[in-house]
Amino acid sequence: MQPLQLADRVFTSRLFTGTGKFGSVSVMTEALRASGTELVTVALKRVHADDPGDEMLAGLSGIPLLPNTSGVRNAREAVFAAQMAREALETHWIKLEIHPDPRYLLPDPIETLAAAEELARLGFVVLPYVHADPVLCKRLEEAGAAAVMPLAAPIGSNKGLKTFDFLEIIIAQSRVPVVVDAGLGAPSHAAAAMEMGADAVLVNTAIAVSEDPVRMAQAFRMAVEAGRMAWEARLAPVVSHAVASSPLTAFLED
Amino acid sequence: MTVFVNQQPIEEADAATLLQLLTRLSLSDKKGIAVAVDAAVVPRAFWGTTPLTANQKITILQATQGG
Repeated sequence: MQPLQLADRVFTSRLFTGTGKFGSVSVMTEALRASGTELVTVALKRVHADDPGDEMLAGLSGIPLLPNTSGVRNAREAVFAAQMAREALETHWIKLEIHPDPRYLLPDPIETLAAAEELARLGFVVLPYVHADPVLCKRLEEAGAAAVMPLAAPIGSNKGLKTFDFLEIIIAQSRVPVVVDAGLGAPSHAAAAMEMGADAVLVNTAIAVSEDPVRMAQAFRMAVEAGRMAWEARLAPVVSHAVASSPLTAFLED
Repeated sequence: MTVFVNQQPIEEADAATLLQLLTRLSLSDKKGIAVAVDAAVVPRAFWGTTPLTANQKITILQATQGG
């Protein structure tokens, strides 16, 4: 498989993963190691003595972190969160997510674009989580986003590629990597996204909430590799009539 | 004087520095945290030279699990 170039880094794994919703830090660690991921998202929260954050960071040791801005409501708060994340985790990479509505967690495009412009100006590597809106994705690219992360379906819904047709347009148009994020519920969804030409996928819930997160992480790893390999090999064309795979020459005498 | 740490009021000596406050909260050596005073990030290197004044809002964040 071709490696993925994103900003100034090269990834051999095209499976980005989240760290949320795992039953324990040890399961999370084992699953993420099994996934082969080279980029994992983490969130920020107010410091709390009982939070297993330190244990989590120890478990993730060696895997590059992608802090997110989850919890912010507008561009101003997102820029602040990114600056705090940079200070806390010593990375200028940021997953920009602004979704004030708690029911559907759909990203606010206007605040996201404003924040992306500002964060790019401040030298961040900005990966914005957005709706599968091809126009917005181009605007984000022009604003300096290092990649775009359009959603397949609402966060945590496991519904799969509900935005398929629009993801195709985004992938066709984009000059920055396209990372399909949110809603991928099964390895087959991830494989389909990769076959479509996505540069990477980000999966969290589908792995973390499965009955066996470690095996599910392996399944996603294989699906992403299979989908990418199929994309690189170029799928055979779809036609509306049968095309024989075996010779039709009659060889039985009557 | 009173300052607010993650929205909780805390009594601190007048003329205390941010580092003194964080030391008292057992956070000064903690890795993976970020501190802001009145919504401006204060890098770790400046904690010792940042004096606190009454009613300032101090935000202390750490990494946690998330997607």
